[in-house]
Amino acid sequence: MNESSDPLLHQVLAAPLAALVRAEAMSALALLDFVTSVGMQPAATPGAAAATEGTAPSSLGALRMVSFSYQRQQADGTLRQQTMQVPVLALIQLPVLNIKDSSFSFNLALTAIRASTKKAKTVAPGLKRPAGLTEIDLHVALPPTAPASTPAPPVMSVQLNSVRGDFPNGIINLLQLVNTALVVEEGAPRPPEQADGD
Amino acid sequence: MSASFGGAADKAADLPKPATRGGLVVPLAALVRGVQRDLGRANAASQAAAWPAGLAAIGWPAPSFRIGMLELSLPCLVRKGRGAQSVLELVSDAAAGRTRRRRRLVVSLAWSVAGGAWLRAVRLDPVGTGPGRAREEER
Repeated sequence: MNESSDPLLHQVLAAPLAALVRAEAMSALALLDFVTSVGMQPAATPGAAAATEGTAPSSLGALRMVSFSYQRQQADGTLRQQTMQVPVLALIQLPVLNIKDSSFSFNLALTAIRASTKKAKTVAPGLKRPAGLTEIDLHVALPPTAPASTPAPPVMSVQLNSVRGDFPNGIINLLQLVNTALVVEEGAPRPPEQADGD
Repeated sequence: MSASFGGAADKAADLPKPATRGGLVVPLAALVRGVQRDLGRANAASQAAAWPAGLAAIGWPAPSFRIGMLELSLPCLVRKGRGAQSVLELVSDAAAGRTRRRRRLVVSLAWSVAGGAWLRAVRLDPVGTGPGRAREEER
């Protein structure tokens, strides 16, 4: 009853949270891969393409720009050819996926309880834990799916809801930078009659 | 409600003793406090979950998740005592049988950023003593 190799309850409860972090890391790396392949110029260094190998790239490289031209009328009536360069990333919707909250429901078999009695202890200035408190550790395991010859352990149903503690801002910083990276080039002025003939 | 699960309630209860039906005998107060502590430990452990160093290097911080609500439910027998002073035997559904002492313990906790794990409810619902109780258990 006292010794068990089964995990403790808090270890099992922490496992879904760790899985959420791992899932979000995979999502982030996939997003970086998308940003690198769509929004950046072809990598000049091997590190820029490392996102597909499970690690974040050390350098994303240079922004891939698209350009378009248009004519703009000046105050004196002349038309001037202008060319605008826009980052590709500013024109597309990025597949940013975050886990906001999650819900897990599962059964755990209580396989052992380890108990101990604590001595009196000062846990904070002016706050003393009284002696004689019983501290217990719950050992749990996944419940057996087939009937066994030994008595079945008590099975506990667990409902666990988790929420996000913070929000990543790295991609927000990137988007803010991309949206300010517009370039406008002006050509030579053209007289109005020449422009009418175009 | 959490205040009733400490001090005097624990001292009145015994450490686990040999069970009569192959279950685990434990004071309710100690069990509840243990689950409360486990919730805090689980949330603390999630902060240390692995996050690719490369993502952190480009300013992408690791997300943190915490358990906001946890509810445990399991069959048990009341060995002695009442309320917070109860001593329970945690047994399988089959071993619990359909005695008057059979209960379903429900422990519901929530996580407060300011105050850690706090108890929303601790109930010892009677089950298995009639069709109405059975429906309640299923629900």
